[in-house]
Amino acid sequence: MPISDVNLGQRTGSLLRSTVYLLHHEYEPKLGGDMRIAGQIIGLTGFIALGFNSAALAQQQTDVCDCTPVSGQPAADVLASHDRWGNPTFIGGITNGGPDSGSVW
Amino acid sequence: MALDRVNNQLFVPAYGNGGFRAFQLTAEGVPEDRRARFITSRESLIGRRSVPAPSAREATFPGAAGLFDASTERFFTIDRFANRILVYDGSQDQLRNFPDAELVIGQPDFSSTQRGLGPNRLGAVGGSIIDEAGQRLFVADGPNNRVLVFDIRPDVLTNDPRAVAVIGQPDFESRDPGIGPSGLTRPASVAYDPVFERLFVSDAGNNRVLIFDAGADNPDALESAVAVMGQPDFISRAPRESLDQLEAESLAYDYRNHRLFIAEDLEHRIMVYDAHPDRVGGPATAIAVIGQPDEFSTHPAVSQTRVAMPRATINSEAQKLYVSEGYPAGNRVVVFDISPESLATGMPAVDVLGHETPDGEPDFDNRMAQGHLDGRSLAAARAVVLDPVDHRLFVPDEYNHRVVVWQLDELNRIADYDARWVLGQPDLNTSHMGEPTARNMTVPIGGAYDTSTKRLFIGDGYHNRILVYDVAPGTLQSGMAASVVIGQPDFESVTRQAGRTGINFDVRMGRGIASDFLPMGFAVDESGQRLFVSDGANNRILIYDITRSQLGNGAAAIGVLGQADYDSTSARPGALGIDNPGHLAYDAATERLFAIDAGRKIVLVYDVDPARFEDGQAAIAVIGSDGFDTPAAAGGGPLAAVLGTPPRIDGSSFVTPNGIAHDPLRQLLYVADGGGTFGVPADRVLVFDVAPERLENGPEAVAALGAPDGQTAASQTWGGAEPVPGQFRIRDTRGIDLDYENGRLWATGSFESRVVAFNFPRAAWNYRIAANSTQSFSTLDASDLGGQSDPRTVAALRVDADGSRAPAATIIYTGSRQTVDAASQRHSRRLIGEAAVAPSSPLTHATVFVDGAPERRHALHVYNPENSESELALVLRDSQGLVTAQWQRTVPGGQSIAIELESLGGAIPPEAAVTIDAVRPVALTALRITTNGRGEEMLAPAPIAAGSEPAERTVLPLFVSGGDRQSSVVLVNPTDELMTGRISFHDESGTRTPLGTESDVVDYRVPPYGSRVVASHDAGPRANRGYAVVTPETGGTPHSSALIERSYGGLTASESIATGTTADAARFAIDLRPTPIRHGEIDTQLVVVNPSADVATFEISSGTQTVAMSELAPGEQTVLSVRALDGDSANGIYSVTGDDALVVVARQQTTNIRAEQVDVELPPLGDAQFAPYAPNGAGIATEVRLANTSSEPAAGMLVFREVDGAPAIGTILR
Repeated sequence: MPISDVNLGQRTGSLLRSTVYLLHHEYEPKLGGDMRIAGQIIGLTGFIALGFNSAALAQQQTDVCDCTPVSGQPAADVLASHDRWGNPTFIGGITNGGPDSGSVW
Repeated sequence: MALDRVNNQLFVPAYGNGGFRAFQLTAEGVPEDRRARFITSRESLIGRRSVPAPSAREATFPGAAGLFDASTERFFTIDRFANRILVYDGSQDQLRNFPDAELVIGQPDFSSTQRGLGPNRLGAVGGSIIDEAGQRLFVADGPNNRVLVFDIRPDVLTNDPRAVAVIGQPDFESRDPGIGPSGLTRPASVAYDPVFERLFVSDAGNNRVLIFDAGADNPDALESAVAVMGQPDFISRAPRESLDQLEAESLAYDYRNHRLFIAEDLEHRIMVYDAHPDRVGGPATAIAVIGQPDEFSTHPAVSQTRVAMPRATINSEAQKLYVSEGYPAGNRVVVFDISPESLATGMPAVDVLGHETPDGEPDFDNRMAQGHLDGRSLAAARAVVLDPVDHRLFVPDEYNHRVVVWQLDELNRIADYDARWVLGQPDLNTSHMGEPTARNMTVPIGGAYDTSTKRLFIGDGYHNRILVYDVAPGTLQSGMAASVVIGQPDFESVTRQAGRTGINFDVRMGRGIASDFLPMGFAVDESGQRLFVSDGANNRILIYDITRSQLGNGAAAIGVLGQADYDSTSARPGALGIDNPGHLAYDAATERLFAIDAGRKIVLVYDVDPARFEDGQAAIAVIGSDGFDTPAAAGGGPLAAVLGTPPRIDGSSFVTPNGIAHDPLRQLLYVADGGGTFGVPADRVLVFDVAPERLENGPEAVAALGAPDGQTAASQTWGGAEPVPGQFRIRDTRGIDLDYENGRLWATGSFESRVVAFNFPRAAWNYRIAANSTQSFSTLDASDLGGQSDPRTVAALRVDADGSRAPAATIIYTGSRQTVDAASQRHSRRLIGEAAVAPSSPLTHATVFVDGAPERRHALHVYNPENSESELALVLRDSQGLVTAQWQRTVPGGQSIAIELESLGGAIPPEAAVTIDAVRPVALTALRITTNGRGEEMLAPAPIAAGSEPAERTVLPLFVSGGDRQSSVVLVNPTDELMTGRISFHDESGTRTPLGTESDVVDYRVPPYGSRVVASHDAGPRANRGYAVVTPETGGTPHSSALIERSYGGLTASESIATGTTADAARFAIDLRPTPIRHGEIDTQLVVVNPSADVATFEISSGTQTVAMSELAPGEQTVLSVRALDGDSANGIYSVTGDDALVVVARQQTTNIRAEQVDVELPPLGDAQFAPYAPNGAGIATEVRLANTSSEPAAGMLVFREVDGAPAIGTILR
């Protein structure tokens, strides 16, 4: 199967979503009570299956997001790349100074 | 470089952008002016690092080199990457105008890049030289072990010419390496002696220089060399045993004094040999060394006496040597006087191109091009290291020889586009290259961070060492010294060794510099306090105990992978070996180590559980291949990837794996794989499921970042308006790092000198805000100009607090259009319009002002936060309150709907109001959408009256007429009682004045549910600014707002609503910093009016800091610029507090890249939680500016819902 057809978000989403349920308060209090319970079960199973042996790692899970990468998604932000006015932009960066410059970069 | 003896100028290839700069020389051969006279080939004057498709115009990056034929005034450019030589008319008038080449050598046409054999194809274009008198061009063809000779007489030379002779092979179809007087092995360079008609061939593979009699009238003489330098005879080929012996590299010849100059790239020096026919032959001893103090020193440094990675051109007439140094070194051309009386080992240069002091004198110590050396630029990012605890990002900047450090925000997002610290250099504006100390580095290309001890480990490539920095917050300082060095006994040593204490990264040109791989890598096992180090050229991974008490300078490794012992260095095959290990990732959950094997282009997986670990143990799995018996890829360096068969582009193998990162929670492995820069169309980050129970050899990637999928080839073009690069696509990604807690991958883009952040999509986004602070999120409106872009999607947003009080929020809709600056090929966003609204509280009744016009639409966005559906009744009334239309709508529980009034049927009167009554409370956002003469849609909030406001009067603090602005007072009567009263207009001092309206006092009469508009019509050039006061006489106070329209040349540029708020509630979320969406110079003006009869005092504060204090006379209006008060990076909660009578409005004003001003009123901060309308894509982004006005930190989530109530799992925020 071409990997573009794999929706990673769906594949792992339930596990990760339930992780958030376990670690945050119920952020969807008015919707889907059954779904929430199911999510907790799946999430707990997920934790057991992963079998962490690092206390430090477990400690870091408190704010873990409910998210996974998706093929072809765009980047969200950029460092060290700016336009001629200094605005951050995805196609930017250092320029060569023009013909009257001394640069030989 | 190319010396033009006709016009006495030097053409210097601008490696960064494919063009050549022409510098005028004096008769003495020194620069007449250190500014280039003109640039040729690359029409983009300041664009950097774009790779054009092969064309007749220019050479492709980065192989630009040149030759000038003074006898015929033709300019030859060596285009290594396209395997061709372009021939231009070299006259000045032509070259200035970016001409197309007239002819191409080595290819059938200007768009081909074939490699090959035969009389008219080349394996690669190596060093070349012209015999002007004989009109011959000699081209070293290293891969084919030969030198081709072309006849370049103008009347003979044609497109795609066939060579007239071949040196080193018996015919044009042979390519075997050879020895003896007629054989060549990988010749690298050639030089010509026009006086004695001799050709020098740098026969690099045989470690010698051959000398041929090369008179044009004796072509047969090219069959066999007449002399050899560097070897005792024609059959010896042993490498030199000592640094004072000859090594065959790049050649240049001084025909005035018959000296051969050999530029030794790796030894950073120019060796000078006597090459007079009477004295040449056999082992050679240099008569001088240039660029080093003696014949045994080889350290690269940039100074007046030292050179780094040099290339040489000679001006025999003027007796000058020009040494060019590219981006890893000095970015300069150093001029040496080589007259016999001056020539001496270690002599100083006499001038330099590329760097001047402020006084106009040559600057021999500076090395960064163009002064682009600061906290917001990188030369080449090869690694990225996240500190997720103290929120810092460390980026080794290879060619600036430094590590740039950015402070991130609480969520590890970019907080400031300017870096705050630098390691390896004293400050962010310095880049020196010198002898090793504890405070500097040369070619850093890897790193790792230990959060448990707050130590940073940096691979100092050229110095073969690991620098350990203690960088706890408060300790980290720019230019600080490393605490410990690993791999060397002290901070001054740079030896390359094996053993338990040695390291050999062997970083040099072709290995970590101008190459497609990184011969080092690091990973930390925090709980076990182990550091894993890829020791590239020793083909092993070392393990160090980094317990503070154990780690000292020159520490000995405690474990090794890839070798059976600590002294072996050759790459072993199979699962036991690793070939040129690169970056590493450690899995703390299962104690596995993932290692890039750059030689075999695979990832090896090791079990490094200390309980089972043994030195030299086998890898347990491989990624990128079905098995461990993958042969090593052919060679390294920039040309390696394109020499062989084009590799597969798929999801189970790599082209050039570089960066690697691991997610211990989801057991996903990220591998950066790129080849686009080196001619192979693959640039992506592949994502693998590496859960131990599922991982098998050769897995298929489950996702690809920076590419649509794992199979799609990357484009060969970059920059400009080509339809691929930028936000969706990555290029030349080396190091990566993962913030798995926040779902973010940091990815370097080495070629374009950037670091991008991929935030993984989700429906619920954490926020975490410090007390009295703001935190902004924004949808992306992602777009690659002319290529992929986000389609328009709409979601509803809810702000959920995590136990604490919910932060206030401002929702800003930003309309922009992507543009490209042709000169620099950089992309920008032209801001079109913005609208800001406060989130909505659920309500059951509201009245919205609407004004029908052909270019205008009105949209009501309604979100039902309850489970049960809500019925809506909408009634449209004209200005007299007469019903003209009625509609019913249903909003299912948890869902949202959009109602566009113009599409419901029936005309919208020019002044009207629509009332909305809901059975159950709903959240509402109402927008005016105006299409201007450019076809651009501008959003503005439509005035909403949620009920009668029984106030004594309403002050509209800003009303402007004239100049490019017109204003209207809009009155809406949301009640069933008649409202009457008057509107008075006042100038800045409080004096009544019409402000462009019909009178300074206008009576109003607004029927029940009716509306009234009083507009200005002053078309004068001067803006008359003031305010309006609405004073009721009968009935309540109508909902009042000022609608301000700004236009340029008859085109509406922005519409905004100014309603004002009293000083007791005047708090605003302000941010003046440009974003990837909002480009321009941003300010926020605070307009304050004192409508009372008494002097009023007020204070402006940011968070808890007072920014300004002032007072206003009775009736006075003032406008204060936050930018002027608090700087151009001002951001946070700004409050205006003072006497109760004061009325305030905050207007964000952005001067966009077309110098047009886009205004938006920022609503005062409130407590509502719902934003029914959160669009993204097709030119609109939604910013959510949260403000925590409490003295405690706030945390919670932004929850996005599709219109059908489903979680909007595709939401990506910045």
